[in-house]
Amino acid sequence: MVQIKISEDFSEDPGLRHCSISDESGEEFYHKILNDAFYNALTSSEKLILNLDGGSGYAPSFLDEAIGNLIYDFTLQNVKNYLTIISLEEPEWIEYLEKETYLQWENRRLKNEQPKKTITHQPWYRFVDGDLIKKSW
Amino acid sequence: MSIWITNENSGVISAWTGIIGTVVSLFFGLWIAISLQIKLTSKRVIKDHLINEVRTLNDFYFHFLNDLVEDKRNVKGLISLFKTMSIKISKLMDIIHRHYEIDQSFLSTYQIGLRNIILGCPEYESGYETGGVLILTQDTINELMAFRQRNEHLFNDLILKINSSVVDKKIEI
Repeated sequence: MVQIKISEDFSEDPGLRHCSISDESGEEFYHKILNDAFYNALTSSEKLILNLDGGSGYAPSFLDEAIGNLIYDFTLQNVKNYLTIISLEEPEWIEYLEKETYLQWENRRLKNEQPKKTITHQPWYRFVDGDLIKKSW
Repeated sequence: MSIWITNENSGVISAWTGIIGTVVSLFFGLWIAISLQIKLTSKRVIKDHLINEVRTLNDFYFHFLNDLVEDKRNVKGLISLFKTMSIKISKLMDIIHRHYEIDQSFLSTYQIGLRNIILGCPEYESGYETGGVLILTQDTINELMAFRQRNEHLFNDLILKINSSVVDKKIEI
């Protein structure tokens, strides 16, 4: 079981949704840390723990973009099976993500509405027809 | 020394026994009444304290929203302010839940909704990197006012629920 604590492994002051509007954005966190970490968890059939505690807090757009991209690339079912989110300080984030982000981004995935990328990223993993493929999508 | 019960002193003994019995009964009666009163008073004090905390929260949000509308809040610090409020509400709701079994997520709609409007509005995003005063557009102000009208009852509903609650579990704080 691998744990990522955003305040320790990424930033104590996470920014907003996209790299174009703030440093340390949800987009950056996803592409620098979360995509690879989730790929490793999925391929080794282990749970990835995402710990939201610590740090100065989050804008909803940061979490929506990071977790939303994860759902878009790996499907909601895989995220539900292999991701556990811990948020003891602000437990309402769990409710927000499960009620809003999960469903909206799964719908986007089914409708093939590509997430916006505001900078060029290194190739990243995506689950396509049962295979995990790494490229710049 | 031995004590003999005779016809003369048996009356005195039974009188004393009666008196002692009455005193003991009176003492226990008083003890029960006082303990019950203390217990009821302490339960009421806890209720009043928690109700007061909910009122304070409501007042905070009332002034906070007014400040936002009147351009008195800086962009910087809003995320951490929401986090501080969130932790405060979470701890308060935990105590309320343990005392009165009221749903811990009673105010979640308010917290999530308000945070989404303010931290998700274009004015906040455009001012995020530079900082400074958050100046809301009329559209966002209208959205905030509508949100307030739709959700402000939650605080009063919570106060009514606490006040009318009969459940008060003995808990360790």
